Amino acid sequence: MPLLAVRNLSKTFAGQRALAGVDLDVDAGEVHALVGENGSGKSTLIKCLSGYHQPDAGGSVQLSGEPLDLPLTPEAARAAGMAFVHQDLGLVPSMTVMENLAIGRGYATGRGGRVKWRAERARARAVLLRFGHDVPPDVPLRNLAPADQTLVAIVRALQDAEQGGSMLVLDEPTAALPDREAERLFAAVREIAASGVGVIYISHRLHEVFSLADRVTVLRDGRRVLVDDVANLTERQLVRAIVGRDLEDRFVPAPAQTNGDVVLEAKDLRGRRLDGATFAVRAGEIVGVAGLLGSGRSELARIVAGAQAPAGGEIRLGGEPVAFRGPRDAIDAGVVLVPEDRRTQGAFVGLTMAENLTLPSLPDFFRAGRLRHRDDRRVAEELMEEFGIRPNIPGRRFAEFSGGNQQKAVIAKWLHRRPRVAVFDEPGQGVDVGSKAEIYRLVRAAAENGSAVLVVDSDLEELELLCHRVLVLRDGCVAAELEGAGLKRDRILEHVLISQEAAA
Amino acid sequence: MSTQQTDARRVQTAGITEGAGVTASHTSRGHALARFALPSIFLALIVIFSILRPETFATSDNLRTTLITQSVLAVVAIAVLLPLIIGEFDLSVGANLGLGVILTTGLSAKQGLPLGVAATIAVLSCTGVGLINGFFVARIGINAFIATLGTGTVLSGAVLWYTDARVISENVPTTLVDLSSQDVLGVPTPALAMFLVALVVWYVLEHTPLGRYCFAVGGSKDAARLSGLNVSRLTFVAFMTSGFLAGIGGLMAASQLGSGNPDVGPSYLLPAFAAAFLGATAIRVGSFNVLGTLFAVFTIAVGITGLQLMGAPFYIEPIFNGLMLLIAVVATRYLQRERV
Repeated sequence: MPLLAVRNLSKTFAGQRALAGVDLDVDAGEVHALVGENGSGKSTLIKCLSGYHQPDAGGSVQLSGEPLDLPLTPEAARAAGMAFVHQDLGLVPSMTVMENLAIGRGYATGRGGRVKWRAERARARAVLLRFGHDVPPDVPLRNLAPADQTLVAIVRALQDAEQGGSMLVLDEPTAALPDREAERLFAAVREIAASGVGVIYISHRLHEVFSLADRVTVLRDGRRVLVDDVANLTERQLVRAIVGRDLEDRFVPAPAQTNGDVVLEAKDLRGRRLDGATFAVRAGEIVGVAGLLGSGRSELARIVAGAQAPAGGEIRLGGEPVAFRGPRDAIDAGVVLVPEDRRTQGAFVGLTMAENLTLPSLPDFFRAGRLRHRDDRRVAEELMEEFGIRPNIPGRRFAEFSGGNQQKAVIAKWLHRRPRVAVFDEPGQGVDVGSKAEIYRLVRAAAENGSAVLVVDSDLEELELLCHRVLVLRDGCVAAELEGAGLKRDRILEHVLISQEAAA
Repeated sequence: MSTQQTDARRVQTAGITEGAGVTASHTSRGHALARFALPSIFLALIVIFSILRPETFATSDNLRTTLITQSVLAVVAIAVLLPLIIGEFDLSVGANLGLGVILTTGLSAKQGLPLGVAATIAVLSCTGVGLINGFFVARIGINAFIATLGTGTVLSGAVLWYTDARVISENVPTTLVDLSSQDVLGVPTPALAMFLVALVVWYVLEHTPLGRYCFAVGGSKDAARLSGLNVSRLTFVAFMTSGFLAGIGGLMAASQLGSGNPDVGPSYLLPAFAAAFLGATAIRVGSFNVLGTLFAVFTIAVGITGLQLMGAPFYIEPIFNGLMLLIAVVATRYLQRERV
C-alpha cells in the first residue's frame, strides 16, 4: 500500500482545466520525482495537497491508508504529516538557525513568557542531528552555505513529524544551488527517504531525476502521461514524455567550428575569485565556461560585461584594449550580459513586456521631445514575434509571463542589438525543458549572426551540446580547455573536480 | 498618449506601495472601477456638497480658495513622488519647504536682499539639500529613509536657529504677497504654478526616457544598472528635483502667508506622503502618478471644506485625511483581488 495515494484529482480555474484526473502514488522510503513543463500542473497538484488550492469534487487523497478530507487546509495537511519546502524557503536570513526552526512552531517558554533559550538550543541541536545535519544552532542563517539553508528548511518542515509515516515535498530545491551543494542536498534527501519518509521531488533538471529518484511521474497539460521506475527510462524517453515530442536539436551534435576573427581577448584577468584567467573568443564562436561555485565563473561574466571592475588584467575588444567603467560602457562597445538572476538583475518584473524589451534603446523612440509610445510598442511586438515570446501582448506585465518567456525576453532585449560579444550567465536556469531548447537555439542564433558568445553554465550537458569550446575554471584560472571530440560532459566534470580530489 | 502603453504600467516601487497595501501582483489593466474610484468620489463630493450647501460651497470664491490653499500641498506631494518612483523616501521635504519659506522671507526682510535674489537663493538652497540627500543615498549608500530623516532634522534646527523660533513678519516686502494674490487669465497664480509643476513632471514621467528610467530604477536597481542606466545619477536627479520643488513650494507658501513661520514646513510632510500614496490608488493603480496625486489632494480638500461648511469641527481635517487614505488603499486591494 502506498504511503500517499492521490486519485483522480482535478482542478479548474475559471473554466480552464489545470489538472485533469491525476493519480499519484508515493511509497514510504521512496524519492518520487514529479516533472513536467511549466504549466503542466505540477504546482497546481502540490498546491492542492498543501491546502492552497481547493481541488474539484471527485478526487481523493489517502495518507497511510487514511482518507483525508478534501479540500485540505494548510493546517490539516500539516497535521496529517505532509511537509512542504518551497523554492523560496521561507526562512529569515538574519535570524539564527534555532530561531528559524522556531518560526511557526513557537518557543518553549517559562514563567512570564520568558523563552527557555537553553532548552530551545538543545532541542534545535537534537532535531538537526536527527536529520544528520550538524550545524550550530546559534549561527545566523545567512552565514550558512545555500545547501545548508535548504536543509534547515527541510528540517523545519519535518521537525514535528513522527519518524516514518510522513511526506516531504521539495519544490525545485536545487534551482538556486551550485552542483556541489546540490550533491550534499541529495545525500541528505536520500537519508531522509531511507528513514521511511516519502519524498516528492520537483525539478527541471533531468539528470537530478536520474541520480536521485526511484520513480518518476510526468505531467503534461494537467494529465499524468507517464509513471515508471527511473531505471526503466532513458533521458530521451523522459524528455519525450515531458514535451510530447522529440526535441531534435537538443541532441544534434555541437555546431561546426568557426574561423571568425578574434573579437574578445582576456589576458590575466583578476577579480575577487579570478586569479589570472586568459582566453579568447572568436566571432561566431560559442565558448562555455564551467567551474564550481567560487571558481570565478560568474565573476568572469560580470567583468567581461563591465558589471564588475576587474582587479587586474586586460580585456581587448577587436584588438583594442578596453576599460569599462560600468555596464553602460560595455553596452556602448557592443558587449551585453544576460545575467544569472532574471527577476532581480535581468528584468523589471513590475514593468510591461514592451517597457522591458525597449529600455536599452529608449532614446531611439524619443523624437521631437516626446516618447513615441506607438513605435516603442510596435518594435516590442516585432521582437516578441521574432524571439517567440508568448503570448504576444506587449502591454502585459513582465511578471505574468512564464519563466521561459521571461528569459527569452531578457535575451531578446540584448540580442536584437546585434552585439559583438554576448555573455550569458546560466541562460537555462529555472525554465522548463521546452523553453530551454528555444533559449539555447537563441544562443546559437546569436553566434550565427556573428557575435562572440560566452556561456557560463552549471549544466554541463548543455555546455557539451551547445559549445564549440569549453573553458574549465579552477581556482580562478583557466585550468583546461576542451573542444572537438574531447568536449564531453564527463571530461568537463573531471576537470572541474580535479583540485577538489587532489586536496582531499 | 497611448493608453494601452501607459495604463498597463504597474508598481515598480512594489516594496513601497505594497507596504501601503496596494498589491502589485495582479492584472495588467487597472480595474476600471479601481482606476476611477478616487475621481468618482471627487465628483460625488462636489455634487453632494453643492446640493447641500449651494450658497457657500458651490461658489467661485470657494473654488479659488481651495485651489490656492491646496497648491502648496500639491507641489510638495509631487516633490515626494519622484524619490518614491525610484524606490526611495524623501522625509526632508517638509523641513526643506520650511527652509524655503524662511530664506525667502528672512533674506529679504532681515538681510534686505531684493525679493528676486532672496527667492532664488531659497530655491537653490532647497535644491542643494536635495543634492546632499542624493549624495548620502547614491554615493555613500545610506538608506534614504535614514539619510533624509537626518538632513530634515538638521534643517528644522537650522530654521529655528535663523529665526530664533519667531515668525518673521516685519519688513517682508509687500511684493511677496502680491505674487500670489494675482490672476493670470483668470487663474490665481498659485494654482497656475501648481498646474505648471504638475504638467512638467507628468510630461517628463510619461513622455521622456528619463521618466521610464526612473520607473526602471524603482523596479530593480540592479537590473537598471545592468541595463546600462546610471542609477546614481538618476538618484541625484530625483532628490534634487524633490528639493527644487520643495523650494518652489516654500516660495509659494511664503507668498501666501506673507511671513516666515518656522513651524510651517514639517506640517506638510505627512499630508504630502498621504496624497502620493492615495494618488497611487487612482488612474494608474499601484503606480505613483501625477494625476492621481492631484486628485488625492483635491478630493481630500473638497471633502474637508464641505464637511466644515456643514459645521464639522476643525479636527475633522486629519481624521478625514487619514480615513480616506486607509479606505482607498483597502478598497483598491479588495477590488484587485476580486478580479482574479
